[in-house]
Amino acid sequence: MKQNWLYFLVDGAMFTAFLIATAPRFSGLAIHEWLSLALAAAIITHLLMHWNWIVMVGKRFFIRTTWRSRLNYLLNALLFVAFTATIVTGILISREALPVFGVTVTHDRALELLHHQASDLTVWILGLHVAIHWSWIWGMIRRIFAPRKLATHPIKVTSQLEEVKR
Amino acid sequence: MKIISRILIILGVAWLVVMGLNWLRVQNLLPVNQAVAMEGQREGWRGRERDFGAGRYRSEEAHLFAERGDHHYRSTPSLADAKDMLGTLAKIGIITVIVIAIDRIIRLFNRRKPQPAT
Repeated sequence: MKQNWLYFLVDGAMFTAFLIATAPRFSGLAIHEWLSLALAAAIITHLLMHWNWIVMVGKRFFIRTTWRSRLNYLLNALLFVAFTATIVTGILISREALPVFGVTVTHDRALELLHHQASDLTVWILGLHVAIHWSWIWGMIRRIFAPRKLATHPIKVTSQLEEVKR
Repeated sequence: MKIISRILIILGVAWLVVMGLNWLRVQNLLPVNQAVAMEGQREGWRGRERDFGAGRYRSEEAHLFAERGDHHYRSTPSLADAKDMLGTLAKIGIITVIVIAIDRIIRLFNRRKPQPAT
Protein backbone atom coordinates (compact mmCIF):
# COMPACT_ATOMS: atom_id res chain seq x y z
CA MET A 1 0.00 0.00 0.00
CA LYS A 2 2.75 2.43 1.05
CA GLN A 3 4.74 1.31 -2.00
CA ASN A 4 1.80 2.27 -4.25
CA TRP A 5 1.74 5.78 -2.78
CA LEU A 6 5.51 6.07 -3.22
CA TYR A 7 5.16 5.06 -6.88
CA PHE A 8 2.31 7.54 -7.31
CA LEU A 9 4.27 10.42 -5.77
CA VAL A 10 7.46 9.73 -7.77
CA ASP A 11 5.55 9.24 -11.04
CA GLY A 12 3.42 12.35 -10.39
CA ALA A 13 6.53 14.44 -9.75
CA MET A 14 8.16 13.04 -12.90
CA PHE A 15 5.07 13.81 -14.98
CA THR A 16 4.95 17.39 -13.69
CA ALA A 17 8.67 17.83 -14.34
CA PHE A 18 8.21 16.45 -17.85
CA LEU A 19 5.39 18.90 -18.57
CA ILE A 20 7.52 21.82 -17.42
CA ALA A 21 10.55 20.53 -19.34
CA THR A 22 8.57 20.36 -22.58
CA ALA A 23 7.88 24.10 -22.35
CA PRO A 24 11.33 25.77 -22.40
CA ARG A 25 9.80 29.16 -23.26
CA PHE A 26 7.70 28.91 -20.09
CA SER A 27 10.44 27.68 -17.76
CA GLY A 28 13.38 29.48 -19.32
CA LEU A 29 16.39 27.67 -20.75
CA ALA A 30 18.29 27.23 -17.47
CA ILE A 31 15.37 25.58 -15.63
CA HIS A 32 14.59 23.51 -18.75
CA GLU A 33 18.09 22.06 -18.83
CA TRP A 34 18.56 21.45 -15.11
CA LEU A 35 15.07 20.01 -14.72
CA SER A 36 15.66 17.66 -17.65
CA LEU A 37 18.87 16.41 -16.05
CA ALA A 38 16.97 15.83 -12.82
CA LEU A 39 14.31 14.01 -14.85
CA ALA A 40 17.00 11.72 -16.26
CA ALA A 41 17.96 10.77 -12.71
CA ALA A 42 14.26 10.30 -11.87
CA ILE A 43 13.85 7.95 -14.86
CA ILE A 44 16.67 5.78 -13.49
CA THR A 45 14.90 5.78 -10.10
CA HIS A 46 11.62 4.84 -11.81
CA LEU A 47 13.32 1.93 -13.59
CA LEU A 48 14.95 0.76 -10.34
CA MET A 49 11.57 0.85 -8.57
CA HIS A 50 10.03 -1.35 -11.28
CA TRP A 51 13.11 -3.54 -11.77
CA ASN A 52 11.39 -6.78 -10.76
CA TRP A 53 8.64 -6.28 -13.37
CA ILE A 54 11.22 -5.46 -16.07
CA VAL A 55 13.22 -8.63 -15.32
CA MET A 56 10.13 -10.84 -14.93
CA VAL A 57 8.41 -9.80 -18.18
CA GLY A 58 11.78 -9.69 -19.97
CA LYS A 59 12.42 -13.35 -19.07
CA ARG A 60 8.94 -14.47 -20.11
CA PHE A 61 8.58 -12.19 -23.13
CA PHE A 62 8.94 -14.93 -25.76
CA ILE A 63 7.67 -17.81 -23.64
CA ARG A 64 4.58 -17.14 -21.57
CA THR A 65 3.02 -13.78 -20.83
CA THR A 66 -0.07 -11.80 -21.81
CA TRP A 67 -0.20 -9.69 -24.99
CA ARG A 68 -0.96 -6.68 -22.82
CA SER A 69 2.30 -7.17 -20.93
CA ARG A 70 4.23 -7.65 -24.18
CA LEU A 71 2.75 -4.45 -25.63
CA ASN A 72 3.46 -2.60 -22.41
CA TYR A 73 7.06 -3.87 -22.42
CA LEU A 74 7.66 -2.82 -26.03
CA LEU A 75 6.10 0.56 -25.39
CA ASN A 76 8.29 1.09 -22.33
CA ALA A 77 11.38 0.11 -24.32
CA LEU A 78 10.44 2.60 -27.02
CA LEU A 79 9.82 5.27 -24.37
CA PHE A 80 13.29 4.58 -22.94
CA VAL A 81 14.86 4.98 -26.40
CA ALA A 82 12.94 8.23 -27.03
CA PHE A 83 13.84 9.62 -23.59
CA THR A 84 17.49 8.67 -24.05
CA ALA A 85 17.59 10.34 -27.48
CA THR A 86 15.94 13.49 -26.09
CA ILE A 87 18.23 13.74 -23.07
CA VAL A 88 21.47 12.97 -24.92
CA THR A 89 20.76 15.39 -27.78
CA GLY A 90 19.68 17.92 -25.13
CA ILE A 91 23.01 17.52 -23.32
CA LEU A 92 24.89 17.90 -26.60
CA ILE A 93 23.19 21.24 -27.38
CA SER A 94 23.19 22.47 -23.79
CA ARG A 95 23.86 26.19 -23.36
CA GLU A 96 23.25 26.63 -19.64
CA ALA A 97 24.00 23.39 -17.76
CA LEU A 98 27.18 22.13 -19.46
CA PRO A 99 29.08 25.46 -19.30
CA VAL A 100 28.75 25.25 -15.50
CA PHE A 101 30.98 22.16 -15.67
CA GLY A 102 33.37 23.97 -17.98
CA VAL A 103 32.15 22.17 -21.11
CA THR A 104 31.18 24.26 -24.11
CA VAL A 105 29.53 22.73 -27.16
CA THR A 106 29.40 23.98 -30.73
CA HIS A 107 26.03 24.91 -32.13
CA ASP A 108 24.59 22.04 -34.20
CA ARG A 109 21.25 22.69 -35.88
CA ALA A 110 20.81 19.00 -36.82
CA LEU A 111 21.10 17.94 -33.18
CA GLU A 112 18.63 20.65 -32.22
CA LEU A 113 16.07 19.39 -34.73
CA LEU A 114 16.68 15.81 -33.58
CA HIS A 115 16.14 16.95 -29.97
CA HIS A 116 12.76 18.47 -30.93
CA GLN A 117 11.66 15.39 -32.89
CA ALA A 118 12.71 12.99 -30.13
CA SER A 119 10.89 15.20 -27.62
CA ASP A 120 7.69 15.13 -29.72
CA LEU A 121 7.95 11.35 -30.03
CA THR A 122 8.41 11.10 -26.25
CA VAL A 123 5.20 13.10 -25.68
CA TRP A 124 3.16 10.70 -27.87
CA ILE A 125 4.65 7.54 -26.34
CA LEU A 126 4.22 8.96 -22.83
CA GLY A 127 0.55 9.52 -23.70
CA LEU A 128 0.23 5.81 -24.51
CA HIS A 129 2.17 4.93 -21.33
CA VAL A 130 -0.25 6.99 -19.24
CA ALA A 131 -3.24 5.45 -21.08
CA ILE A 132 -2.09 1.89 -20.39
CA HIS A 133 -1.69 2.64 -16.68
CA TRP A 134 -4.79 4.83 -16.45
CA SER A 135 -6.86 2.42 -14.34
CA TRP A 136 -4.11 2.41 -11.67
CA ILE A 137 -3.66 6.21 -11.87
CA TRP A 138 -7.41 6.79 -11.60
CA GLY A 139 -7.62 4.32 -8.70
CA MET A 140 -4.93 6.23 -6.81
CA ILE A 141 -6.60 9.60 -7.51
CA ARG A 142 -9.91 8.22 -6.24
CA ARG A 143 -8.23 6.96 -3.08
CA ILE A 144 -7.07 10.51 -2.35
CA PHE A 145 -10.63 11.85 -2.43
CA ALA A 146 -12.62 8.78 -1.32
CA PRO A 147 -13.35 8.35 2.39
CA ARG A 148 -11.53 5.58 4.24
CA LYS A 149 -13.42 2.31 3.98
CA LEU A 150 -14.41 0.33 7.08
CA ALA A 151 -12.62 -2.95 7.66
CA THR A 152 -14.46 -6.12 6.68
CA HIS A 153 -12.25 -8.62 8.50
CA PRO A 154 -13.94 -9.80 11.76
CA ILE A 155 -10.92 -9.01 13.96
CA LYS A 156 -10.50 -5.55 12.45
CA VAL A 157 -14.26 -4.90 12.77
CA THR A 158 -14.12 -5.83 16.49
CA SER A 159 -11.14 -3.56 17.11
CA GLN A 160 -12.85 -0.70 15.29
CA LEU A 161 -16.04 -1.21 17.35
CA GLU A 162 -13.96 -1.12 20.54
CA GLU A 163 -12.43 2.13 19.39
CA VAL A 164 -15.90 3.57 18.79
CA LYS A 165 -17.07 2.44 22.28
CA ARG A 166 -14.10 4.19 23.92
CA MET B 1 25.88 -3.06 -4.55
CA LYS B 2 22.77 -4.48 -6.23
CA ILE B 3 21.44 -0.98 -6.93
CA ILE B 4 24.78 0.19 -8.34
CA SER B 5 24.94 -2.77 -10.70
CA ARG B 6 21.36 -2.08 -11.83
CA ILE B 7 22.15 1.60 -12.44
CA LEU B 8 25.19 0.51 -14.49
CA ILE B 9 22.96 -1.82 -16.55
CA ILE B 10 20.49 1.05 -17.23
CA LEU B 11 23.32 3.40 -18.21
CA GLY B 12 24.85 0.67 -20.36
CA VAL B 13 21.58 0.14 -22.24
CA ALA B 14 21.27 3.93 -22.67
CA TRP B 15 24.83 3.98 -24.02
CA LEU B 16 23.93 1.24 -26.53
CA VAL B 17 20.87 3.28 -27.60
CA VAL B 18 23.10 6.33 -28.15
CA MET B 19 25.59 4.24 -30.14
CA GLY B 20 22.71 2.91 -32.24
CA LEU B 21 21.44 6.43 -32.92
CA ASN B 22 24.94 7.57 -33.82
CA TRP B 23 25.25 4.65 -36.26
CA LEU B 24 21.90 5.66 -37.82
CA ARG B 25 23.17 9.24 -38.09
CA VAL B 26 26.38 8.13 -39.79
CA GLN B 27 24.38 5.98 -42.24
CA ASN B 28 22.06 8.97 -42.92
CA LEU B 29 19.07 6.93 -41.76
CA LEU B 30 17.76 9.50 -39.28
CA PRO B 31 15.00 11.88 -40.45
CA VAL B 32 17.30 14.78 -39.57
CA ASN B 33 20.73 15.30 -41.12
CA GLN B 34 22.87 18.32 -41.85
CA ALA B 35 21.21 18.96 -45.23
CA VAL B 36 17.67 18.91 -43.75
CA ALA B 37 18.88 21.10 -40.89
CA MET B 38 20.31 23.65 -43.32
CA GLU B 39 17.04 23.70 -45.25
CA GLY B 40 15.07 24.18 -42.04
CA GLN B 41 17.45 26.91 -41.08
CA ARG B 42 16.70 28.76 -44.28
CA GLU B 43 12.95 28.35 -43.80
CA GLY B 44 12.90 28.84 -40.03
CA TRP B 45 13.26 31.94 -37.92
CA ARG B 46 16.77 32.56 -39.19
CA GLY B 47 15.36 32.78 -42.69
CA ARG B 48 12.71 35.15 -41.44
CA GLU B 49 15.43 37.13 -39.71
CA ARG B 50 17.27 37.35 -43.01
CA ASP B 51 14.02 38.35 -44.72
CA PHE B 52 13.62 41.07 -42.14
CA GLY B 53 17.13 42.26 -42.99
CA ALA B 54 16.05 42.36 -46.62
CA GLY B 55 13.11 44.60 -45.71
CA ARG B 56 10.28 42.04 -46.03
CA TYR B 57 9.02 42.63 -42.48
CA ARG B 58 7.43 45.74 -41.08
CA SER B 59 9.45 47.86 -38.66
CA GLU B 60 7.12 47.03 -35.73
CA GLU B 61 8.15 43.36 -36.11
CA ALA B 62 11.81 44.21 -35.60
CA HIS B 63 11.73 43.22 -31.90
CA LEU B 64 10.84 39.63 -32.87
CA PHE B 65 14.44 38.76 -33.66
CA ALA B 66 16.21 41.32 -31.55
CA GLU B 67 19.01 40.04 -29.30
CA ARG B 68 18.33 36.47 -30.27
CA GLY B 69 21.61 35.45 -31.83
CA ASP B 70 21.93 31.67 -31.68
CA HIS B 71 19.56 31.40 -28.71
CA HIS B 72 16.04 30.23 -29.50
CA TYR B 73 14.77 30.45 -25.97
CA ARG B 74 15.14 33.09 -23.34
CA SER B 75 17.02 32.18 -20.18
CA THR B 76 14.37 33.75 -18.00
CA PRO B 77 10.98 32.08 -17.36
CA SER B 78 7.92 33.59 -19.00
CA LEU B 79 4.44 32.94 -17.63
CA ALA B 80 2.94 34.07 -20.93
CA ASP B 81 4.20 30.83 -22.53
CA ALA B 82 2.45 28.51 -20.06
CA LYS B 83 0.23 27.45 -22.96
CA ASP B 84 3.13 25.31 -24.29
CA MET B 85 2.85 23.17 -21.17
CA LEU B 86 -0.93 22.99 -21.47
CA GLY B 87 -0.50 21.93 -25.10
CA THR B 88 1.62 18.95 -24.05
CA LEU B 89 -0.90 18.08 -21.34
CA ALA B 90 -3.71 18.27 -23.91
CA LYS B 91 -1.81 15.96 -26.32
CA ILE B 92 -1.26 13.37 -23.57
CA GLY B 93 -4.89 13.76 -22.45
CA ILE B 94 -6.23 13.22 -25.98
CA ILE B 95 -4.11 10.09 -26.50
CA THR B 96 -5.23 8.74 -23.12
CA VAL B 97 -8.93 9.36 -23.87
CA ILE B 98 -8.64 7.71 -27.33
CA VAL B 99 -6.84 4.62 -25.98
CA ILE B 100 -9.27 4.25 -23.07
CA ALA B 101 -12.24 4.58 -25.45
CA ILE B 102 -10.81 1.90 -27.77
CA ASP B 103 -10.12 -0.34 -24.75
CA ARG B 104 -13.69 0.09 -23.45
CA ILE B 105 -15.17 -0.72 -26.89
CA ILE B 106 -13.03 -3.86 -27.22
CA ARG B 107 -14.05 -4.99 -23.71
CA LEU B 108 -17.72 -4.31 -24.48
CA PHE B 109 -17.61 -6.46 -27.61
CA ASN B 110 -15.70 -9.22 -25.82
CA ARG B 111 -18.35 -9.28 -23.07
CA ARG B 112 -21.17 -9.52 -25.62
CA LYS B 113 -19.48 -12.31 -27.56
CA PRO B 114 -21.69 -15.44 -27.22
CA GLN B 115 -20.12 -18.23 -25.20
CA PRO B 116 -19.73 -21.56 -27.04
CA ALA B 117 -22.07 -24.29 -25.84
CA THR B 118 -20.40 -26.89 -23.66
